Amino acid sequence: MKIENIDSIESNSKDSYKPTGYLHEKTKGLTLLDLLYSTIIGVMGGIISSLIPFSLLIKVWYPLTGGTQLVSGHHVIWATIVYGLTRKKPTIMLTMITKGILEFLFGDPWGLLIILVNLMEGLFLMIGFKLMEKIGEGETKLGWAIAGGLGNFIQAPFFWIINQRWYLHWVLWVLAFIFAFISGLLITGLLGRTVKNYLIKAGVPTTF
Amino acid sequence: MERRNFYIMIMSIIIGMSVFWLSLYAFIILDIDPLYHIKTTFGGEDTIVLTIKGNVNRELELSVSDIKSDKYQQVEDRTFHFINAIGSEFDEVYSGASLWSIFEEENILNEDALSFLFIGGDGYWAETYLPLNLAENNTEQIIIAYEKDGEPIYYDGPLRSIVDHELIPEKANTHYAIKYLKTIIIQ
Repeated sequence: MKIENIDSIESNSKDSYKPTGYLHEKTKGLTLLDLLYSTIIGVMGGIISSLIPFSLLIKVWYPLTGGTQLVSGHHVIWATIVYGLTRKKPTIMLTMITKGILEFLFGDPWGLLIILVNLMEGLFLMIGFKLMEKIGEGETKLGWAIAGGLGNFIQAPFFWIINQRWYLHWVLWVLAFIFAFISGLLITGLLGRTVKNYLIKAGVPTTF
Repeated sequence: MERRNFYIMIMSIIIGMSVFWLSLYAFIILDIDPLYHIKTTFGGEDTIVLTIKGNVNRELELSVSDIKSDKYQQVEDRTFHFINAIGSEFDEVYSGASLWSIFEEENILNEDALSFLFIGGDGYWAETYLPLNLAENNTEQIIIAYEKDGEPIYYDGPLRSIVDHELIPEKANTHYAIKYLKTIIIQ
């Protein structure tokens, strides 16, 4: 009886001193900081994606339709940065849905569909990171680049198919898809990884 | 060099070469001027930006100032209704010259000319040819626009073809609102 009592007191004391917070190693779910990163960076992404015409950077030197896919990677870079700070894949989806809602609220011409597109990009980015981890490239530049490329690529065929652009020349289709992938490699993957590294170096706390 | 890096280099070269040759092919096949945007951005209103060719008695080249001239019927601040490929509807206000008035004033159409197609400077073209009588019977609803909401079309211009949805109710008329309008082909 006596031993049992001591055990129960110990277990009670463990409960009362249970470590919490984003630094706790055993945390499996999302921490408050994860949620904050996802929403704040998602909101930033939504505002920047909606209001800044990045395609102007391409228009002056590359005239073909679909060429603006070369800068499309900036739509997904936010999710890459958040993933780099949290290393939790659900934060990718959370960031993208936040960004999608902001874009919808800013009057995106695609309406509610833009939220679905963001979710799709997030899903493919998650799959990309998962695949790269499986082949041992989860931490490398190559792994991040390919995951970013995969995440950004998917929106191109989706938009071109939903726009029913069957009547356009096939070369424009192929080029647009290649550009979407390249943009994902360079902007979403590599630039996202660099930004994440600088943020960590600057003292932004990670949650992994 | 590590084998992994060698593979990365090979893949980069393949992607780079594909983009180069496909772009070159597109420029030649689709008759795209790589300097079109630079010319229209820095060239001013007297730069030739639109060519009408095909089944015509002479090829006609027009600048923005030509299109704006009183020679042609001007449509000012007209609201056009649009429906896109996913069924979203919206209205936009454009000013421009009536397409039919250009054909009529210049008298360039051959007798057997039946239809016309809009082509953009970026290789984008309209979904289908439209019958010429559609432009003839609705002179204010098919225009070559140079202003949107009273401002010059900078981002999607300098010229843009506009066809009101009322004329093609079964189609997404956004597929006929061609940005960077460069060529009109008569068939």
